[in-house]
Amino acid sequence: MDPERVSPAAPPGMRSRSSKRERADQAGAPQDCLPVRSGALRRNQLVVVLVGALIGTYSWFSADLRPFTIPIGAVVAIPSIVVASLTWSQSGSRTTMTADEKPLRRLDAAPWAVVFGLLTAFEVAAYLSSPRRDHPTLSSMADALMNTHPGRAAVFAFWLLLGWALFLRRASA
Amino acid sequence: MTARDATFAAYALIGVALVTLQALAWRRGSVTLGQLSDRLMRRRSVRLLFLLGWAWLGWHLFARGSATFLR
Repeated sequence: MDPERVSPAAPPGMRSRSSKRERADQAGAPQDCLPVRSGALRRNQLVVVLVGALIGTYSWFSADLRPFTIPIGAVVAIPSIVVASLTWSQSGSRTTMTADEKPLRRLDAAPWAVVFGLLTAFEVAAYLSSPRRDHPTLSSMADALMNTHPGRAAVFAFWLLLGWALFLRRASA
Repeated sequence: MTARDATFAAYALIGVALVTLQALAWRRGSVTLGQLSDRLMRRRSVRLLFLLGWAWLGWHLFARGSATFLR
Protein backbone atom coordinates (compact mmCIF):
# COMPACT_ATOMS: atom_id res chain seq x y z
CA MET A 1 0.00 0.00 0.00
CA ASP A 2 1.26 3.45 -0.90
CA PRO A 3 1.74 5.44 2.33
CA GLU A 4 0.92 8.66 0.46
CA ARG A 5 -2.62 7.39 -0.17
CA VAL A 6 -3.39 6.42 3.41
CA SER A 7 -6.74 7.85 4.45
CA PRO A 8 -7.20 9.76 7.74
CA ALA A 9 -8.91 6.68 9.14
CA ALA A 10 -5.83 4.57 8.62
CA PRO A 11 -4.07 2.96 11.62
CA PRO A 12 -1.88 5.37 13.64
CA GLY A 13 1.39 3.66 12.60
CA MET A 14 0.71 4.33 8.93
CA ARG A 15 -0.28 7.92 9.56
CA SER A 16 2.92 8.62 11.47
CA ARG A 17 4.91 7.14 8.59
CA SER A 18 3.15 9.49 6.20
CA SER A 19 3.68 12.54 8.43
CA LYS A 20 7.37 11.69 8.76
CA ARG A 21 7.61 11.78 4.99
CA GLU A 22 5.81 15.12 4.88
CA ARG A 23 8.22 16.55 7.44
CA ALA A 24 11.14 15.27 5.39
CA ASP A 25 9.69 16.96 2.30
CA GLN A 26 9.30 20.23 4.16
CA ALA A 27 12.87 20.08 5.43
CA GLY A 28 14.12 19.46 1.93
CA ALA A 29 15.60 16.10 2.89
CA PRO A 30 15.57 13.13 0.51
CA GLN A 31 12.33 11.17 0.91
CA ASP A 32 13.70 7.96 2.41
CA CYS A 33 16.44 9.68 4.42
CA LEU A 34 14.65 10.20 7.74
CA PRO A 35 13.23 6.70 8.31
CA VAL A 36 16.60 5.17 7.42
CA ARG A 37 18.43 7.58 9.73
CA SER A 38 16.05 7.05 12.64
CA GLY A 39 16.31 3.29 12.16
CA ALA A 40 20.10 3.49 12.25
CA LEU A 41 19.92 5.79 15.28
CA ARG A 42 17.68 3.33 17.12
CA ARG A 43 20.06 0.48 16.26
CA ASN A 44 23.02 2.55 17.50
CA GLN A 45 21.22 3.35 20.75
CA LEU A 46 20.45 -0.32 21.25
CA VAL A 47 24.10 -1.22 20.61
CA VAL A 48 25.25 1.45 23.11
CA VAL A 49 22.85 0.14 25.77
CA LEU A 50 23.89 -3.47 25.17
CA VAL A 51 27.62 -2.66 25.18
CA GLY A 52 27.16 -0.54 28.32
CA ALA A 53 25.33 -3.36 30.09
CA LEU A 54 27.98 -5.88 28.99
CA ILE A 55 30.87 -3.64 30.16
CA GLY A 56 29.12 -2.91 33.47
CA THR A 57 28.41 -6.56 34.22
CA TYR A 58 31.87 -7.71 33.13
CA SER A 59 33.56 -4.99 35.20
CA TRP A 60 31.47 -5.69 38.29
CA PHE A 61 32.33 -9.40 38.33
CA SER A 62 35.97 -8.82 37.33
CA ALA A 63 36.41 -6.37 40.22
CA ASP A 64 35.72 -9.19 42.66
CA LEU A 65 38.75 -11.21 41.54
CA ARG A 66 42.03 -11.12 43.43
CA PRO A 67 45.21 -9.80 41.80
CA PHE A 68 48.00 -12.32 41.13
CA THR A 69 45.52 -15.09 40.32
CA ILE A 70 44.74 -16.88 37.06
CA PRO A 71 41.08 -15.71 36.88
CA ILE A 72 41.99 -11.99 36.98
CA GLY A 73 44.71 -12.62 34.40
CA ALA A 74 42.08 -14.26 32.19
CA VAL A 75 39.49 -11.47 32.53
CA VAL A 76 42.16 -8.91 31.56
CA ALA A 77 43.49 -11.09 28.73
CA ILE A 78 40.06 -11.75 27.14
CA PRO A 79 39.23 -8.11 26.23
CA SER A 80 42.86 -7.51 25.23
CA ILE A 81 42.77 -10.43 22.78
CA VAL A 82 39.30 -9.48 21.48
CA VAL A 83 40.31 -5.84 20.90
CA ALA A 84 43.63 -6.88 19.31
CA SER A 85 41.93 -9.29 16.90
CA LEU A 86 39.16 -6.81 16.00
CA THR A 87 41.73 -4.06 15.46
CA TRP A 88 43.82 -6.26 13.22
CA SER A 89 40.85 -7.53 11.25
CA GLN A 90 40.08 -3.95 10.21
CA SER A 91 41.18 -2.84 6.78
CA GLY A 92 44.99 -2.99 6.70
CA SER A 93 46.85 0.24 7.37
CA ARG A 94 44.50 3.21 7.49
CA THR A 95 46.57 5.54 5.40
CA THR A 96 43.74 7.05 3.38
CA MET A 97 42.20 10.39 4.28
CA THR A 98 38.63 11.52 3.78
CA ALA A 99 38.03 14.59 1.62
CA ASP A 100 37.03 16.87 4.53
CA GLU A 101 40.12 15.98 6.58
CA LYS A 102 42.92 18.51 6.89
CA PRO A 103 46.47 17.20 7.04
CA LEU A 104 47.87 17.12 10.58
CA ARG A 105 50.40 19.89 11.17
CA ARG A 106 53.03 19.68 13.87
CA LEU A 107 51.75 22.94 15.30
CA ASP A 108 48.29 21.37 15.87
CA ALA A 109 49.76 18.47 17.81
CA ALA A 110 52.32 20.57 19.75
CA PRO A 111 50.07 21.57 22.71
CA TRP A 112 49.07 17.93 23.22
CA ALA A 113 52.70 16.83 23.01
CA VAL A 114 53.69 19.43 25.62
CA VAL A 115 50.97 18.42 28.11
CA PHE A 116 51.56 14.68 27.69
CA GLY A 117 55.31 15.28 27.88
CA LEU A 118 54.81 17.13 31.17
CA LEU A 119 52.59 14.34 32.50
CA THR A 120 55.17 11.70 31.57
CA ALA A 121 58.04 13.69 33.11
CA PHE A 122 56.08 14.26 36.29
CA GLU A 123 55.03 10.60 36.54
CA VAL A 124 58.63 9.42 36.08
CA ALA A 125 59.87 11.94 38.67
CA ALA A 126 57.23 10.76 41.18
CA TYR A 127 58.03 7.10 40.41
CA LEU A 128 61.73 7.65 41.11
CA SER A 129 61.07 9.59 44.32
CA SER A 130 60.25 8.19 47.71
CA PRO A 131 58.42 7.70 49.97
CA ARG A 132 55.45 6.83 47.79
CA ARG A 133 53.07 8.52 50.24
CA ASP A 134 54.67 11.89 49.53
CA HIS A 135 55.17 11.28 45.82
CA PRO A 136 52.12 9.39 44.56
CA THR A 137 52.16 8.05 41.01
CA LEU A 138 49.06 7.68 38.85
CA SER A 139 49.09 3.95 39.65
CA SER A 140 49.17 4.52 43.41
CA MET A 141 46.31 7.01 43.08
CA ALA A 142 44.35 4.46 41.06
CA ASP A 143 45.08 1.87 43.76
CA ALA A 144 43.57 4.18 46.37
CA LEU A 145 40.50 4.57 44.17
CA MET A 146 40.27 0.79 43.80
CA ASN A 147 40.04 0.12 47.52
CA THR A 148 36.32 -0.49 47.22
CA HIS A 149 34.48 -2.90 44.94
CA PRO A 150 32.51 -0.16 43.10
CA GLY A 151 35.70 1.90 42.66
CA ARG A 152 37.56 -1.10 41.25
CA ALA A 153 34.65 -1.92 38.94
CA ALA A 154 34.53 1.72 37.76
CA VAL A 155 38.25 1.76 36.94
CA PHE A 156 37.89 -1.58 35.12
CA ALA A 157 34.96 -0.17 33.12
CA PHE A 158 37.01 2.94 32.33
CA TRP A 159 39.83 0.73 31.03
CA LEU A 160 37.42 -1.19 28.78
CA LEU A 161 35.85 2.05 27.51
CA LEU A 162 39.31 3.45 26.78
CA GLY A 163 40.04 0.38 24.67
CA TRP A 164 36.77 0.79 22.79
CA ALA A 165 37.35 4.53 22.25
CA LEU A 166 40.91 4.04 21.01
CA PHE A 167 40.55 0.99 18.79
CA LEU A 168 36.93 0.09 18.03
CA ARG A 169 35.07 3.43 17.91
CA ARG A 170 36.29 4.20 14.40
CA ALA A 171 35.40 0.76 13.12
CA SER A 172 31.88 0.90 14.57
CA ALA A 173 31.24 4.50 13.41
CA MET B 1 52.35 22.78 51.55
CA THR B 2 53.72 19.24 51.74
CA ALA B 3 55.32 17.34 48.88
CA ARG B 4 52.20 15.20 48.72
CA ASP B 5 49.94 18.24 48.29
CA ALA B 6 52.26 19.66 45.63
CA THR B 7 52.19 16.38 43.73
CA PHE B 8 48.39 16.24 43.76
CA ALA B 9 48.23 19.90 42.70
CA ALA B 10 50.55 19.25 39.76
CA TYR B 11 48.48 16.26 38.58
CA ALA B 12 45.31 18.35 38.92
CA LEU B 13 46.91 21.15 36.91
CA ILE B 14 47.86 18.75 34.12
CA GLY B 15 44.31 17.34 34.17
CA VAL B 16 42.83 20.83 33.88
CA ALA B 17 45.24 21.60 31.02
CA LEU B 18 44.06 18.47 29.15
CA VAL B 19 40.38 19.35 29.59
CA THR B 20 41.03 22.96 28.56
CA LEU B 21 42.94 21.88 25.45
CA GLN B 22 40.11 19.56 24.44
CA ALA B 23 37.48 22.27 25.01
CA LEU B 24 39.53 24.78 22.99
CA ALA B 25 39.98 22.25 20.19
CA TRP B 26 36.20 21.71 20.00
CA ARG B 27 35.53 25.43 20.04
CA ARG B 28 38.18 26.45 17.51
CA GLY B 29 37.85 23.40 15.31
CA SER B 30 41.48 22.42 15.82
CA VAL B 31 42.72 18.89 16.46
CA THR B 32 41.01 17.11 19.37
CA LEU B 33 42.61 14.28 21.31
CA GLY B 34 40.38 11.77 19.51
CA GLN B 35 41.35 13.10 16.07
CA LEU B 36 45.01 13.12 17.05
CA SER B 37 44.93 9.50 18.24
CA ASP B 38 42.99 8.46 15.11
CA ARG B 39 45.57 10.08 12.85
CA LEU B 40 48.52 8.70 14.78
CA MET B 41 47.03 5.22 14.66
CA ARG B 42 46.83 5.17 10.89
CA ARG B 43 50.31 3.71 11.12
CA ARG B 44 50.27 0.05 11.99
CA SER B 45 53.34 0.39 14.25
CA VAL B 46 51.71 3.18 16.29
CA ARG B 47 48.49 1.18 16.55
CA LEU B 48 50.47 -1.77 17.88
CA LEU B 49 52.22 0.48 20.43
CA PHE B 50 48.89 1.91 21.63
CA LEU B 51 47.41 -1.60 21.86
CA LEU B 52 50.36 -2.89 23.88
CA GLY B 53 50.17 0.16 26.15
CA TRP B 54 46.47 -0.31 26.76
CA ALA B 55 46.83 -4.04 27.45
CA TRP B 56 49.76 -3.37 29.79
CA LEU B 57 47.67 -0.79 31.68
CA GLY B 58 44.95 -3.37 32.35
CA TRP B 59 47.47 -6.00 33.37
CA HIS B 60 49.35 -3.51 35.60
CA LEU B 61 46.26 -2.12 37.34
CA PHE B 62 44.20 -5.28 37.79
CA ALA B 63 46.22 -8.44 37.31
CA ARG B 64 49.35 -7.17 39.07
CA GLY B 65 47.74 -4.32 40.98
CA SER B 66 47.97 -3.35 44.60
CA ALA B 67 46.49 -6.66 45.75
CA THR B 68 43.93 -4.51 47.50
CA PHE B 69 41.62 -7.38 48.38
CA LEU B 70 44.46 -9.46 49.80
CA ARG B 71 45.13 -7.01 52.60
